[in-house]
Amino acid sequence: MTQATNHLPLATTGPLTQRCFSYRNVERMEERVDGARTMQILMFGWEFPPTISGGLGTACYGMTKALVERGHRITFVVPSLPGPERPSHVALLAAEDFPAGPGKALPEGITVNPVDSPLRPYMAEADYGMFREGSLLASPGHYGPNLFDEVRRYGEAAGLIARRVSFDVIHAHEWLSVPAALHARRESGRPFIFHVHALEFDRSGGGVNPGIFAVERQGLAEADHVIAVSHFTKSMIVERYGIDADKVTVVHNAVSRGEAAAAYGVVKAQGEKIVLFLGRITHQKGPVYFVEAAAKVLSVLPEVTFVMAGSGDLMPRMVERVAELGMGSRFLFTGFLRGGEVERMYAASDLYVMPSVSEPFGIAPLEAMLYDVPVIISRQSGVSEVLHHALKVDFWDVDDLAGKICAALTWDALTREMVERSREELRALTWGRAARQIEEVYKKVVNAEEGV
Amino acid sequence: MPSVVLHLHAHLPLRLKKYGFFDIGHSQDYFDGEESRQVLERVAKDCYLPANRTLLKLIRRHRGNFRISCSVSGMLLEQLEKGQNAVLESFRRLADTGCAEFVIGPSHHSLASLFSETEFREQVALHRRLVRSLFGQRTQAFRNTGLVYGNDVARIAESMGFRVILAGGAGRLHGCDAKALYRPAGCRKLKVLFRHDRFSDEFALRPAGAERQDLTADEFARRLAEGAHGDEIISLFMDYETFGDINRTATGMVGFPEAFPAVLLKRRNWRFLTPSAAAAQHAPAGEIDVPGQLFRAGSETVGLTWPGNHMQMDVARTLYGLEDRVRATKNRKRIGVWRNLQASDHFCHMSTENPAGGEIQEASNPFASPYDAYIHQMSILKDFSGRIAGKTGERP
Repeated sequence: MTQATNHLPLATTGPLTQRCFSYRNVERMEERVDGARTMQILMFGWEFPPTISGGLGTACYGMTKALVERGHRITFVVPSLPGPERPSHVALLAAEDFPAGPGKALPEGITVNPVDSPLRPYMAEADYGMFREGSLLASPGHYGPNLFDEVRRYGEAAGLIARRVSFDVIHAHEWLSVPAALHARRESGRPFIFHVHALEFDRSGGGVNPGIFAVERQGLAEADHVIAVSHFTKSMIVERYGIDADKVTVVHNAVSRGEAAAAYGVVKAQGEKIVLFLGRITHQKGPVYFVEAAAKVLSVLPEVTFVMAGSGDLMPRMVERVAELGMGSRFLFTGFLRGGEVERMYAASDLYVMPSVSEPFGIAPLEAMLYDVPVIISRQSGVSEVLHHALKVDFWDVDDLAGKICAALTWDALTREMVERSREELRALTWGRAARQIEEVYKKVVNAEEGV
Repeated sequence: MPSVVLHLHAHLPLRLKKYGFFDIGHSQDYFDGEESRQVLERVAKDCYLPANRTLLKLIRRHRGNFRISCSVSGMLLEQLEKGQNAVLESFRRLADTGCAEFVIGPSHHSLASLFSETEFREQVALHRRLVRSLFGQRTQAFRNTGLVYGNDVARIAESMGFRVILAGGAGRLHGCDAKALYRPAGCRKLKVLFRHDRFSDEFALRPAGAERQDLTADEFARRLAEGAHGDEIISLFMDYETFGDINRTATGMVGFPEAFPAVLLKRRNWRFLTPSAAAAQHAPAGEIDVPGQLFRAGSETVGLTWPGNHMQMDVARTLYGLEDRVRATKNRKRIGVWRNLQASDHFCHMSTENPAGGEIQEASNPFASPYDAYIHQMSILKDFSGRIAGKTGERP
């Protein structure tokens, strides 16, 4: 096992345990205005910037940053993946594994510990091929049984970490971290908070994997408290997993403006309009509704360009359907986009569409809004609970979706109003707000633990 | 001798039908007659009928000492004529007592005063004719939609023969205490009567006092007596809904509107006046100069303020941009559709001021969001302008 530290002033001295203790930073505690105690948090996740493939890593980054700004100390554990350019992740130095890019330095106070595991929350298209032989995706389009071995290994490693660092609270993201969190709790006796960003019901669209469901249910049942990213998700936790509603707190995600946000002054052809779908091309994200709506829109507005950015198991079918509808010249697939490409794509778009079938939160519309792109989102998404200046549709209502796309591309007053109002709304959707709510949950479980 | 001018306003728009981009050119069903009828039926039963019963009872009980004024929009009157004769009859009975003055306004509850003087005048004339034929009254009292006021509105009202105009927004005027009549700048005969916002809101909302007790009629009368001296006029302007809402009786509010006149009239020197009587008996306390358009405080919460947001401005531009072409069709049905599209409610529904907590408009708002409201209206206007173009032979 290796540990990684980035930009930490005390990182070079002493073994891990010692270093963690040295973080009890008295000055920071005094900085707190409200006099609340600061905490040491052991966090388990799947991914952390810059190595991310979905919204989870971005969310973890923003959340941890805000928590650290409020004086808390975080040890973040992630399983790492050996890419082709990294032959040996075991011997890997963490600093290399999570290199701090020029603009994305790890906030002071966050330690990232990679654990040796090929786990990844979502697979980029190329990865599917890569893993197919390794039987990770033996069942097509879904997880293979080996994944559970990996989860177990991750959990055991987490137990080791829990013995070596000191912390007040365990905060685990998603089902893959549940065994890790349970190990850590067994080692330490500290309370365990399960942060649910998505459930198997969202991901699978009906064909629920019983193994994953079991891990989720165990996590939800055994957690001292549960954080859900939306009321949408909370109700699913209560109704489908039989969890007491009092045990679940809703903390909506937020979005933080990337440093490069304003730098993309994309020049477009006059009058050309681009409608964007950006996300995994899987059942959950509803790409099929985007394709069908595009055909309807093109029947009345033939000059519009549709872009489907991302990759996923439904991509071949989408390509075929686009060809079948004869709109290949107006419908582009970009494949999986990374970092700057994503930002450029947002900046070039006139409208962002998220027709998700089931979306616990859905951070992408907020990111699009950062680029002053108006958004259409499905009502079946958690983010629609916090967004009021977006057009909303039921994902199955292709006519409504197509009509709203046409309206947004036709009448400037509509998008102007949405964009101007969204700017105000985004200012209130900060990670600082989310961190305050998470902090309340920490206090609650720690107080319960200590019998306060 | 202090007076109270009690004014109740009734209006219901024709609801817009679900209409999207792909309906353009395919459907000219803009209004949802069935839904409008159901809403009207509900409001009639819960509000108009019980309120008018109460008012009639009060007028009879106080033998001419209790006087009110009402305004019923032309749009609502037309709907009542079609299906709610009982309500129409209850208004008629009020009119017959001679103690209820029916105030005139733009017939289609439009904001035409902001965009087209011609249309504004026509709508006022329409409403005046309608009220005269239904209630036999020829009144000289006027109110603009939403109590929107300005020098221009006053000038037009005077030129049309009105002698008093009901207005809102006194709180935004420096040196106007809203307890007297004023002379609008540039007018010679017209007087303006401003809504007393604090007392009107207290009457309508009856907020709980310090002891968490609902406002009683006695307490309200005491506050009025404390707040008015000499010849002052307290203008209580409100919607019918706040006067006759039976939901309030369920929360123990029984009889506040019913008890209040008796309590006030027991105080020797108080009386109730109609707007015209108030104007006839009081000299103006001063001149009021409002060059722009004055919206009353609180109107932004229902989205009625100007200049509006991008969507409200765009719809208004498009809608009134059609005026000449609509008139050129000389088609009464088309002109009627155009007027029905002007109802201020449609503009309120596009307000983005308070999208999360707009409970006030929830009940009457058929749209999921202001953006949906805008898309509906622009789609309708697009279709409508295409049809007019077809009619007048020009290209859309």
